[in-house]
Amino acid sequence: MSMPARPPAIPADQADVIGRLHAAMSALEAGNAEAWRHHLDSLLEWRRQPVVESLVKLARELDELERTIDARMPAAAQANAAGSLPDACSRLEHVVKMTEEASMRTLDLADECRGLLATFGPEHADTVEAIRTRLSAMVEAQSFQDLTGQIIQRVIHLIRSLQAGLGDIQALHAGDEKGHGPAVAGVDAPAATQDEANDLLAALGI
Amino acid sequence: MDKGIRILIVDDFSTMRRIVKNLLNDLGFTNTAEADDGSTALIELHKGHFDLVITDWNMPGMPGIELLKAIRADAALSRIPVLMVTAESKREQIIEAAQAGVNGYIIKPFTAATLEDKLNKIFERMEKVA
Repeated sequence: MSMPARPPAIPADQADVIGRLHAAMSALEAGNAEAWRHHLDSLLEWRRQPVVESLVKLARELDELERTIDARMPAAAQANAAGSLPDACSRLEHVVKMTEEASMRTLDLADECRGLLATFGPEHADTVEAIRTRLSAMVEAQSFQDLTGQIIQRVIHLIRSLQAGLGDIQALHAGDEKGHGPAVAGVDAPAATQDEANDLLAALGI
Repeated sequence: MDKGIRILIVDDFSTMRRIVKNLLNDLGFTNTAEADDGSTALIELHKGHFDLVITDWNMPGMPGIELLKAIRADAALSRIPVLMVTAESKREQIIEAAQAGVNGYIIKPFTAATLEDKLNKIFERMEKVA
């Protein structure tokens, strides 16, 4: 006859745990809900103790680490205190605003040029058409404002989440639904071209 | 192709809304309205009749992919063609949009020629179905 496998040994305070388990069991059998909960809580407390100790240790280590960093890089500590991260966000937002204003100005001027083209006589038809084509290309080129703006907004989002203490790279990967903005060469995986997108869509029947 | 069709342009960047509107005007489409994210687009769509939605994907409020899904799930709107114009260019995203029922997908930056080509394709299909 083989013996059933023994459960792993409980550390030193074995007797105490056994005592509490028995007490909890007796309380349950006696229908004493309050005592049952009390004994169960004391067991849970015992289980939680090492976790709490680890957390306290971790917090202490983090604190020491922070102090070491501050001691070695006083500039970083100062910059942090002066709020350079929010400052960085404001500067980036300002860049988006400036490029938006410049793009809008360019689009206004392109509109005005179109108006002026209408004043040319029919003998200039070819030149007018050539200028019109180039104006369209200028308008298309203004899409840089949207594309660079999306890239900058993504960086602002990353800085804000670092600042909020959620400082993991999750910020760059989270929220697929929201989109990622343009792919940046050398940083992101290569983007699909319009031709590749067309082939893919054709294969999907679109 | 009926140049009088009503088109809703959805993008959080006012520059891009204006560029799309400008290029549409060049192609003869002048009946347009604008919205800056999916939620405001849905409000516009319920306010009046639209024949086409041109939407960005990456927007701070409701993104374009959710707008597309909302349109397809709404009996009153489900038949409106949706053209995605976006910098999102991952294969999985194009497939996701296709599965959600997109009618065309343009990757930014794009040219007037690409826009015209995609619009023609959408209208050809609509005529075939009609």
